[in-house]
Amino acid sequence: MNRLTKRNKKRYIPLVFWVMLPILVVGIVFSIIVIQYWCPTLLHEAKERVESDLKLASKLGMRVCDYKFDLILESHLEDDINALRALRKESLEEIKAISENFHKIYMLVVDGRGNAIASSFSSLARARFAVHFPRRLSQIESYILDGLSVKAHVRYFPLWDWYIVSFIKEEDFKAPLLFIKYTVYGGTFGIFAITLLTFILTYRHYISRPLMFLVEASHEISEGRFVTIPVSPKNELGLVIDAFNHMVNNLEQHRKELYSALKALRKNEQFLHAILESIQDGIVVFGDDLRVKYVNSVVKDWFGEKAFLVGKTCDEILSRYGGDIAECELIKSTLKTGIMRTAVVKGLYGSSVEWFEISTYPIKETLSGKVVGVVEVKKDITDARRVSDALRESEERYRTLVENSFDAIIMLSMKRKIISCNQAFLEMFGYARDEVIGKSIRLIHPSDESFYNLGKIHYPLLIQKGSQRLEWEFVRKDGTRIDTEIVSSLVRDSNGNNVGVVAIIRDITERKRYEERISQLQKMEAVGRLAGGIAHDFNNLLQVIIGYVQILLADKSHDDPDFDSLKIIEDSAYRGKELVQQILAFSRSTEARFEPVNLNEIVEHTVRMLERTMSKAINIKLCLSENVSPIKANSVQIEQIIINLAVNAQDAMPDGGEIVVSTTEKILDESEIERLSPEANPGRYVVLCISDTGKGIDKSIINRIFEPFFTTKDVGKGSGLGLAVVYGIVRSHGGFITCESEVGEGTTFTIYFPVSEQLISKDKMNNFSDVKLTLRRGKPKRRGTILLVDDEEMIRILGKEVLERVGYDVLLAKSGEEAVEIYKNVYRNVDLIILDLNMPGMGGIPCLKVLRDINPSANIVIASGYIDRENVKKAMSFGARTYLYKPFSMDHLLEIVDELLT
Amino acid sequence: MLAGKKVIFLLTVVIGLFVFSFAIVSSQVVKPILIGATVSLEGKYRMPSHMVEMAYRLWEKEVNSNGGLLGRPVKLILKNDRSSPEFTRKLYEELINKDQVDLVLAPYGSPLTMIASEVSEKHRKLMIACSASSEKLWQRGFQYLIGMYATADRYFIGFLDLIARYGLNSVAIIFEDSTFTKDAANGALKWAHRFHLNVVLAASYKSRDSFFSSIIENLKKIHPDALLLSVYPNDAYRFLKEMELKSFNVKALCITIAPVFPDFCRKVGNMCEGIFAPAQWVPNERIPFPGSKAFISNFKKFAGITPTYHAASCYSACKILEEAIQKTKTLDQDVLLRYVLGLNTVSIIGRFRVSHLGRQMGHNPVTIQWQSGKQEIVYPISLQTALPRFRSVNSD
Repeated sequence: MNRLTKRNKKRYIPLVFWVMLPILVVGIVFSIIVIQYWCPTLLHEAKERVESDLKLASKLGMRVCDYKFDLILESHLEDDINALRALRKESLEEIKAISENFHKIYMLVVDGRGNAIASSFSSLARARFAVHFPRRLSQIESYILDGLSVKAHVRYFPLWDWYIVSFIKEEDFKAPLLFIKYTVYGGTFGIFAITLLTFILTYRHYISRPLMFLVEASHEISEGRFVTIPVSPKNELGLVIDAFNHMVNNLEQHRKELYSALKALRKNEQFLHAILESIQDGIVVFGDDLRVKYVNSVVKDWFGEKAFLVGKTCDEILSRYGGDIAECELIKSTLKTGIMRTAVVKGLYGSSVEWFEISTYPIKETLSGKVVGVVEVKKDITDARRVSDALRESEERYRTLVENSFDAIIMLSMKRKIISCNQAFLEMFGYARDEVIGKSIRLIHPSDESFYNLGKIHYPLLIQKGSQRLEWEFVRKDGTRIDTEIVSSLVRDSNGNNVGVVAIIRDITERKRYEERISQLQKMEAVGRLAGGIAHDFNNLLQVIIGYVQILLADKSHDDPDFDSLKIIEDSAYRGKELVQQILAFSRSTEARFEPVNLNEIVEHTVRMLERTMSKAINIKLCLSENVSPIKANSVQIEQIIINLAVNAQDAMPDGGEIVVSTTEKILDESEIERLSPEANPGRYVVLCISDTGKGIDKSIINRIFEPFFTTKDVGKGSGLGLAVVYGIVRSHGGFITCESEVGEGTTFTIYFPVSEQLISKDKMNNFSDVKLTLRRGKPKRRGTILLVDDEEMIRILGKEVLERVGYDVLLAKSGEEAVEIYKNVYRNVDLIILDLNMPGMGGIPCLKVLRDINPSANIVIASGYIDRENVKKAMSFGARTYLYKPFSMDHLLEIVDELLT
Repeated sequence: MLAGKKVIFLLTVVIGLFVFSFAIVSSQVVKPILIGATVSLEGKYRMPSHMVEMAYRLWEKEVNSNGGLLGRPVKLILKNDRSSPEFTRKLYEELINKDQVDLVLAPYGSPLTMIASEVSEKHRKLMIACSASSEKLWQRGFQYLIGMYATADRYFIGFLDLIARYGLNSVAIIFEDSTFTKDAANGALKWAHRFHLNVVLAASYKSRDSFFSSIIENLKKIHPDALLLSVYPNDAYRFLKEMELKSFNVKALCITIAPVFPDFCRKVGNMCEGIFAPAQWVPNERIPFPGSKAFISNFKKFAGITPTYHAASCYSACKILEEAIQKTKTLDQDVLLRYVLGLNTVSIIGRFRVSHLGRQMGHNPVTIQWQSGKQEIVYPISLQTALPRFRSVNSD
């Protein structure tokens, strides 16, 4: 019995537990309810009783005092000291006596200073308390009176300043409460425990003990020892034990018979098992319910030792370990049809076995031929499969690489026939695949000579080095030439024999064209720099011409026969000045200056210039609208627009034609703006229209004509910048440009410039024609000394003559160094310095700094034939008052000098 | 015929003599006992004096309905003293000298009783001062003056005892500089010390002072726990109004006279709640003194209003005088005086026992408080109809 109990201790919960559990729960709940509701009620009652006794005692004490007070008032004894003393004494005695009527409740009277003046508790009768009693009637509180913990109720009698205290010791206050608590707790739990114990003992004797005998006997039988139960109580359990003993006797007889049959079967099974385990392929046996009945050790190795396959269906194994659904279908098919099947299927997830070759064989009953199961033989073919897949993938990868390449790739035989090519090759040369495969590479050469030359140059080096790079020109199917870069490599077989050539051909036509354009731009930049360089010297020459002509003109009347000739010289010199400006603007060496201009005047002027330079086969026709409003523009840039468009028109009419240049003024409303250029604003525009009768522009490229470097001209004939520059200038003027063209009909460019609100200055309008009379008047006489610094002797002489002519004293210096020397000595007498910026040696800017160091208030005007904005800014920041741009008129010179010296 | 004429003549004479003698006799038997007094139909004592007048009239009606006194009806001669001491003196002289009254009753209030008693003492007329409690009345050695009220110095005992028991500490006392109010204030000061209270202010004012704002400003600075106002009704109303205007309040406020009137709350509005007042008597059915309940009922029927202690006290005075006359069967003032001095009885307002100087010894006042629109007795403890309530005050 004990052995059995120990053995099964952890495996069962005694029945008594389940019977006891509700009793225990009910008992505990009942006990808690009793304690929760009964105990507090009893405790509250007991506490209330003690507290009400305390309150009553203090109230009686107060009554004593009130009674005495009534007596005092009725008898008017308030001023009778003896009577009052007697009454107080009586009161104290009566108060003390109150405690005799209460169990363990004492009385205490304390005066206003905390001294006990009477107490029924002898040890407190003369005590002094630090406790502050409340005057107002309050509840029962805990106090410590002279070290004694008490519960007390206090009342205040103001006439005598007495605190009447009824109190009970804390322990006496708690004693009945504790008694009640212990009684309730102990009683409840005691009753509960006795009931429980009685039940357990009864249960153990009449139920548990016979049952444990029954259990022990069952375990003995399960271990092969047939035992009967010796006890048989006279109740229902006794009947069960009798039946049990009868069953045990019968079972022992049957067991002996079965044992001998089993022994024979086990021997047979071991032999079959040994056969199946000796096969190196996986064997799985399925029953007619498609559940696994047997697996050999090979299968166990594949699935892992912990995989319990026996008893599972094929689908269950598939869903858990992965594999190919076809495997299960095959097994089901064999089970259904009784026909042997073979297939290659996927292996297990996460296993090294990725592919199986499986064969399913039906298991048939010997007599009926009915299929009762399937034997599946699984062969691991992963390695063989992996090799063939790798080969196929590698081939596919290379095919993709070749086909997706942007470069043309071809394979040639050693006889230079095309074996294969990629799509890029076909697109590059414009052939279909069947047009090139098997054909000679001569197909893409422009000539036989090209074909033979390439073979002659290229192949010996290729065979020698194994690979070769070169550039060659081929021809497309449509006859257009194509510049290419070829990288070719030899293909050898496993024996090292050359069997072919692989060539990668890259189209470098665009790159070539771009390189040529860069070269063209560099040339233009060089021209610009050259123009800048000569501008200064050229302007100095013009300055001398203009200066002297103006001196001569100053002395001539309009009737003088030389006047007109001198005027023509002056005009020509000014045109020379404008020419220099145009060259500098074209090369971007000067900053564009915007001012109100008359477009018609610029057009007329430019067209006159074009007529001299363009082919005689080109007829230029002007249709200018009168009184067009001024536009705010840089005249040089407007000229450049006209020139660029005219040059393009000329190129489009190699056999001659007509260019029509027209101007007009339009008001564009929102709808028109939306149609023409949505970014622009509605309003008044001056319209410049240049049209030709040339070959026109194809619709497919008309949207790209303003792109930089886009050109349809032959290489070397156009920079591809002409229209881009036009576009840029128009945009910088706040305008916009449109282009209309029909192939064979001609092209029209229409440029819209916003109207300027400013008027054209008179100076500009009369730039070339107005002759000032300042020099001729020559009076009144000016006073002052001017130091003129210029490396050009003619400029110095001209300046001296002009300035002295109007009354100034002039000192001359031919270099910066000389100017400094002169100025050091006479700077107090020099009123103004005119300083050339571009001088050899010290140069203008350093000279300016030194002169300002000598005299920080020096009046300096800078002058140069080639002034860029940065240099002017620098000079002004160093103290220059203003600047003169050569060639300048003498009147302009005198205006500035007069202004600075006034 | 002559005999017939003689008989007629004699008969006429006899009848004439009979009628004459009957007229003389009857005129001597029905002569009422004249009792004189003044009441204030105007002036500052008008309200309490009206209660006194109604009490006198009720007694006159009751005593006459019971057959009068000594077989004679009682006739009251009440004259309007306009709340003026000068008028009072003149009218009492007139009542005694001109109207030849047999007995005199007291006017309302200590100041007028002081004057009236001088006249009655001079003419050796017994006067029961039923609505005067000034201590000074008994300091003059008058023989014919008897007191009904507990003296003024005991008015605030109940209130002071209460606030001391409930833990309040500081008290301020404001009083009018007149006989009764000053005595009451002095008594309060004395008892406050006995109850170990801290008197933070004791200030008087003249009755002509019409503004209390400076007093209240002072009180706001001191902020006492309790305030005693020993004043007459009109000043009480004005003081309360000023307190309300200045948002001043204390935990406990006790006022003389005004709060005992039933219409007090109607007059002062919100300020009424919680106000204490000393009273010689209260029209409450819980008052245990014999005859009190019947008096309340009869007075309400007679006057149409609830009686105050002024009415009850003067009615009691009349009843004591009635008992003295009934017992001694005389209107002799000295006999009546001796009888009253020896009395130790209980009237409707409480015990009546006087000293050899006529000062009331047996009676003590009660303290009432207005709670939820009703007068409740809060002191003495044995007569309490409700526990006292104290206001919560936000200190500035």
